[in-house]
Amino acid sequence: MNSEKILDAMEFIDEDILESVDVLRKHPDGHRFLWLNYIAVAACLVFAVIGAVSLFDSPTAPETNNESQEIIDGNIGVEDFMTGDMHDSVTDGSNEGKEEFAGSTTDNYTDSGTSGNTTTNTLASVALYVEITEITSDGFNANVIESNGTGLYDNQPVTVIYNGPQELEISDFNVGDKVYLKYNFNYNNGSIIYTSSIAFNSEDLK
Amino acid sequence: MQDEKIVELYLQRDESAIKETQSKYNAYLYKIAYNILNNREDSNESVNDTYLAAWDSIPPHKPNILSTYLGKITRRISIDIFRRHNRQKRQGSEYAISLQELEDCLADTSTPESELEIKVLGEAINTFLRTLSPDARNVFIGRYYYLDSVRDVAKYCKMSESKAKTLLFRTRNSLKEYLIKEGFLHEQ
Repeated sequence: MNSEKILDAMEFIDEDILESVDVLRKHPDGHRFLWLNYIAVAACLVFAVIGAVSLFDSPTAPETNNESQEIIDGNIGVEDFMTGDMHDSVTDGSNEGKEEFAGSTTDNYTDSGTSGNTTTNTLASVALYVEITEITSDGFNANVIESNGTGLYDNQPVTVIYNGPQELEISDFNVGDKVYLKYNFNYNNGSIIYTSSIAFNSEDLK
Repeated sequence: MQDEKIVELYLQRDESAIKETQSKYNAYLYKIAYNILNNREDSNESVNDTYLAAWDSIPPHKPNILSTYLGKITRRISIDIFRRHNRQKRQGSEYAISLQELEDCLADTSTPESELEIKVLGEAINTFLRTLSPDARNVFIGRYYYLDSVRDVAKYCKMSESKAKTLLFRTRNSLKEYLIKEGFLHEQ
């Protein structure tokens, strides 16, 4: 059997299956649901206006969280987050008193880890090749096949936590799959890895 | 005009059926043809042949979904044109000529069998597709029936290109396993 036979055989696919794809092809941008976008934009505008009005109407400005204010003022550097609480993002008021992680992007993830001996490294844009051994709720466990100069060694077990865009689901992968992943950030001496890009081919990594 | 009315025009042998079909489905059919042929002239030829084929086949056929019915005709005609052109391109080489002679000889004896085989295979693929998730099925059909680019498929299925590629990779592997299990392929 060759691929031509499969393409020929697809002529016998039921019309209801073809029609469901036809509908998608005719509305590639989802025009049918465009009104939902307008409603969402309108709702956001209403909230923004209400927020702005209530802010300007209040006699005194609301108290700012001390820690947030310190960040904005530049009194707390990024290094403070490495030993302290977890933060999702840092808002820079000025560049003074702050450091960027080496090679990191705006999507930095910081975590104090589970033990006092946590080691934090950032190795952005490094491709790692692993074999999945177990699917977890937020990623998977895997063994390193090729470490590509990351400091990890072959067959080292790692816990991979996926924190990328929602369109890629971990349920797309199975135990035994060999995948490439972009190595954003790790701690616990490399045993826990955060990644925002997983693919079967290294060239598909983003 | 609604599809039912266009089909009614075909059934009444009213030639305006072709005009109505053309005004409603020309772009849709041209896209299918162009995906296969990648040539404007050939694609137009394929679409025009589709109208004639529809005229010849309705009646006796009375399609339930006119768009997919016409799309199937365009796809088949376009694949035939593609294969004919490929054969012509290969004509210069003696190897190709000898291969063609052997193919013709084999085709003479195996055509009905092959047609039946392809139909049975088509039914198996149909059954397989119904086991897939809607996303996986839509991506597979978009890529291998409509022959749209992965980028286009990902766009209209509202997912990233990498997810579409992943789904295609998985579905191809699952199809291979299914065809082996059903005896259409031998395990390598």
